[in-house]
Amino acid sequence: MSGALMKAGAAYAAGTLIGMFTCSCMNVTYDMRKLEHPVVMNANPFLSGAGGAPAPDMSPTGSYQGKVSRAEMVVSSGQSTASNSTRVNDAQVKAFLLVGGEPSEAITRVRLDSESVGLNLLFALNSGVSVVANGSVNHIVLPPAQAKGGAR
Amino acid sequence: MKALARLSGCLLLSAVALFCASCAGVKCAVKADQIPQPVSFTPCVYDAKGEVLHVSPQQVVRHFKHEKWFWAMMWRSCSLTTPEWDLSDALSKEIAEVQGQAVVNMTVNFRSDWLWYVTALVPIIPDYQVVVVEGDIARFGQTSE
Repeated sequence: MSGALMKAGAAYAAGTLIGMFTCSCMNVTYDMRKLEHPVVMNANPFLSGAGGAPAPDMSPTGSYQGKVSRAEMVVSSGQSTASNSTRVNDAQVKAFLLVGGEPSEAITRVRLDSESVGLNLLFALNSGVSVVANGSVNHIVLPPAQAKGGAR
Repeated sequence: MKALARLSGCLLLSAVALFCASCAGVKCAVKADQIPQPVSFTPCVYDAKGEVLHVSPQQVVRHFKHEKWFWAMMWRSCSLTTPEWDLSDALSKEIAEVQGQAVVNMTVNFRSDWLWYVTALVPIIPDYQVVVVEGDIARFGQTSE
């Protein structure tokens, strides 16, 4: 009985230590800097004009949702250890699919919701962080002369 | 007597298992919807005419970094800090200080480090998540009307 308990304790300690090393530095970054298109957190993507000119009109056309996540799972039996890592990052690709190459489409009101989870089940350890970005896609009503304009 | 010893052994094992098996986590949200100037995650904003402007290094007037720790306990059921972080005031202040026009290149990092892992082992100990917001404030000069 005590031998089995000691074995289980050793397996738990080993699993915990391995888990601390592999699951310890969980971090995800919502990074859209490679996208050549405005994606804004607020409702206004326009700079104010020199003479206080009114900004172009916008009309909502859809919604945007992207996800960035990372998860690690470590299973230890005392004798052997197996780990599994999962990474997802579709935030930038989804934004590009919605507005890429279309200067008259903008993503606004982006809100980031994050969730971190740590699960410790004696011989299995799971840790993960995920971020979900939600925003709205808007069509910018450009004057006809500028409708064909792109990035400067 | 033997049965009692076995029962207490089982109870002890269950208590140890319950102590060792736990789940923890933190939920939080970041927003900035009350700020009048553009707050962009990319190097681009629109000018007043609706054309896309790409920021150049010379137009960046300040780099900023803000950090906030979110705390929760009892498997996320009890938030010890406000689970929502509105960046509007902090960013408005930064922009006003340097007379900037927009925030560009913004990144938001969500992190949990080794201490978080230790706190996650026991549900009664609060656990946390660190959120770091970084970005540049840009001044584009006179934009077209």
